[in-house]
Amino acid sequence: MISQFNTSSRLQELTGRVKRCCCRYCGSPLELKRITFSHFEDSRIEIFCTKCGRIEYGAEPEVYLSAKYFVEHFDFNWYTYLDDNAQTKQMTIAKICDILTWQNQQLGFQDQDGFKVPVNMKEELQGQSMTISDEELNQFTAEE
Amino acid sequence: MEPIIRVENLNCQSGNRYLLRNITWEVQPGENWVVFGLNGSGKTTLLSIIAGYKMPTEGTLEVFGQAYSDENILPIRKKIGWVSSSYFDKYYTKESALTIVLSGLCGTLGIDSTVQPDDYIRAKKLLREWNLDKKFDLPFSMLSKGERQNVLIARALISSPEILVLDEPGTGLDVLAREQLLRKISRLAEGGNMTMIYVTHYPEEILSLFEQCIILQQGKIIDWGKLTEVMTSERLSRDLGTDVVIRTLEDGRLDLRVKEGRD
Repeated sequence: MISQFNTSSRLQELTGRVKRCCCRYCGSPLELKRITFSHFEDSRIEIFCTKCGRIEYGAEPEVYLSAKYFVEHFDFNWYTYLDDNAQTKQMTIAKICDILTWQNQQLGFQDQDGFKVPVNMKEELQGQSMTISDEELNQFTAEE
Repeated sequence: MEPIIRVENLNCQSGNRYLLRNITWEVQPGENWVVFGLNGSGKTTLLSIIAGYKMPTEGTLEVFGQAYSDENILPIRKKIGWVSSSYFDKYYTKESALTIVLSGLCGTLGIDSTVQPDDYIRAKKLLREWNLDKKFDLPFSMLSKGERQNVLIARALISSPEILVLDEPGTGLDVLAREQLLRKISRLAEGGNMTMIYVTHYPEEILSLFEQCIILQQGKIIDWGKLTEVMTSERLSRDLGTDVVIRTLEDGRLDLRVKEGRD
């Protein structure tokens, strides 16, 4: 079984994601888990978020941090028709993760193996392009 | 013609208990079968083995002329659409409807990189067709029984399967939802070359498109053949061990009544 585990491309991919990615909903580390009983390793292993208790493909940590920042700092809720609670917030973060990942892939910055360009994310700069300070706002108003 | 499914002397044990015993069954491409049996007769176990989601303990199983192996299990699973809430309800809770549908393309419970951007578009289209617009991202457990059933059907259909296995799809649905489901199944059968297997314990769900039938009891096939020959009052009374009356309704569907005095 161990040799099959090492040679399967699906398992290699999932193993790589577990090492690299985090849960799109809660940001926790992911793990490989045997979900079903089967003789065949390929068919019984999935990526799992133990904290959430869900089968979860995950997102790159940088993508998750960006999505979380956006949702928290702008109080953004994608699912306005649902109760505004912790679960809805997690679902919104996961949604933004999907959108960012999609965009990164379309632009060629990211593929299934992660980022294809060097990423040096500075958390302290998160949102600086979007947040306008009172001072800057006053300056804009004065110029107008 | 080579059978699309071939099962020979198949056993499945859990501990000392036989869930299936000496099952021998062949399904030819394009045939539509009903698997009929009471609760606990082994219907779901048999179909989960055929769909590659459970392993037999003994016997021969070939699907598309191949026995399951490490190399082919996922490619074969992708060609089998398997709808079974009694199986998937055990594993899916917080997973979104969209992810579950996409997992059908991988032949697994989760997704992997084989899912392409176009697949998301197809998955959403299927979810819309099965009345799940605006519910793409909802966790499985937040959906109604009927909606969950529709998610599993969309999951089964996304890979354009050659075999579609519907394991008690009408169970738990209200009468309107069930009739709507049966109409859609009927349209699916008309529109494609799929081999369909419909598992049920309700004869009134059996559509006229199903020509063949096996009856399971306590893990064994106790009767099989043409539906019109097996699903008669006489044979079903014998098979079920109780007097029943089967009537054929105007639309070709069946109605079963247990004779009075039999509790």
